[in-house]
Amino acid sequence: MIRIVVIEDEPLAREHLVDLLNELPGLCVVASAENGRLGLAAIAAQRPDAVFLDIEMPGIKGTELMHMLPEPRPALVFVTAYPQHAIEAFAGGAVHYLLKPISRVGVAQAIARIHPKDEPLQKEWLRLPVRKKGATRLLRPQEVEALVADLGDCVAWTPEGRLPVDGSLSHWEERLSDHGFLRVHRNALVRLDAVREVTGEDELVLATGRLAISRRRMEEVRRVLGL
Amino acid sequence: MALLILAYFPWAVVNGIESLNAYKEVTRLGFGLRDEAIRSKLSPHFIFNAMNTLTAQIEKDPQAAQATTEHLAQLFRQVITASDQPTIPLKEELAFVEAYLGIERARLGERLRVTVDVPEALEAAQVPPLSLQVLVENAVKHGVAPLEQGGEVRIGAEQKDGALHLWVEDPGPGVSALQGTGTALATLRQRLEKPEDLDMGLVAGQHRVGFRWRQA
Repeated sequence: MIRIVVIEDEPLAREHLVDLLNELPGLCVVASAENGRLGLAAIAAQRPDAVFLDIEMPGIKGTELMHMLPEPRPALVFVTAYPQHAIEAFAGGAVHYLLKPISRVGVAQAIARIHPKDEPLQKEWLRLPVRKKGATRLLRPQEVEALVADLGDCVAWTPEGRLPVDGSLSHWEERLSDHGFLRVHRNALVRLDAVREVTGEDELVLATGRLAISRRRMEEVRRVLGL
Repeated sequence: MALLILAYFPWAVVNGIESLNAYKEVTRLGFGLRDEAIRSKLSPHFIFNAMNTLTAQIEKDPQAAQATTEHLAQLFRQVITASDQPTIPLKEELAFVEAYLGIERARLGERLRVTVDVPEALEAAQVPPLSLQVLVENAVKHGVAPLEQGGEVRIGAEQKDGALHLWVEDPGPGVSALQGTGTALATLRQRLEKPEDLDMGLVAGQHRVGFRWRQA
């Protein structure tokens, strides 16, 4: 499901665009906003896959808003009457440019250029894939005590040993936050109920090893652990 | 380019088969319009935004779509036929402005509010074609559209010392209007008898631009 936020100041044009989008399968307009300020708030709240953005708007213009998007950046589709800003828009990372009057074909072409972020997974089905010869071993989050980034790869600390896991640490941080994992260092996530000891040197002691806590995360770790 | 597109549009729709001839005819007419202000009067932005409004209205509100089509036709007709004349009655200019504002109101919704306060006795007065339009378009584009909450455009007129004074007020900062519309205002000033016939200022917190046109 592609989740979309529409930002367009003209009421009729906004409604029309939302209608055309909602006609298409596999997507959902999760919010629409009438100016850049409200649009940014909607993006922060909804974390959409894509934003359809008008350029000429009161307050923050579309071409300004594109530089204010949070990470991970949603795909951007500009909607405008006249393509004088096309170069600027594409330089800013727009995936497509819709000209007014907008058409069903145009909207469908724009959607074809957008790829949804991973589906939000059912919490209980989340697994960490460990590639082995000829098969993929699936780890339950409860089997993992920590996930440590090592030169771009992720390594899961498990009672069976340290196993390489596909995907970046930030990818896993988002998904594992529902499973009691917390970022304790730039390069490490820890499952908090696996922590056995906090040392005076700001280290966490797990059954599978020791991990340093970065100074700026220490406070949160202590708070979460009720220390 | 803008004029070609706008001039071609109604002919092409009405007369699909003969559109090529119509196109040639309109092109000839179009190039006959020398006045740069007139040629740029209906900007591509305006035209394509209007068509976008129209597309949206066709499904949701067919009657509103008809009204928008009529407004567009009126604008095109005026630009094609009337803009060669040195002056037109104020009544015609006001009708043109009303058609323009009808489209912008449909587009901007409640953010655009308009008050017209022109005494009926002045409707026969002569004004250069599209002169009031220049001021109204500036007021909408630079005075109202950039405001989140929108605002009011006020159009007023009075007759004094043998001259018609027309003015347009908007809640914008004024400065942006001057920057954005240097060309249009400069062209209007050229058409006036004296440069000081164009006046700008603040009245009751509103930015005001007006001009005087001596009546024969």
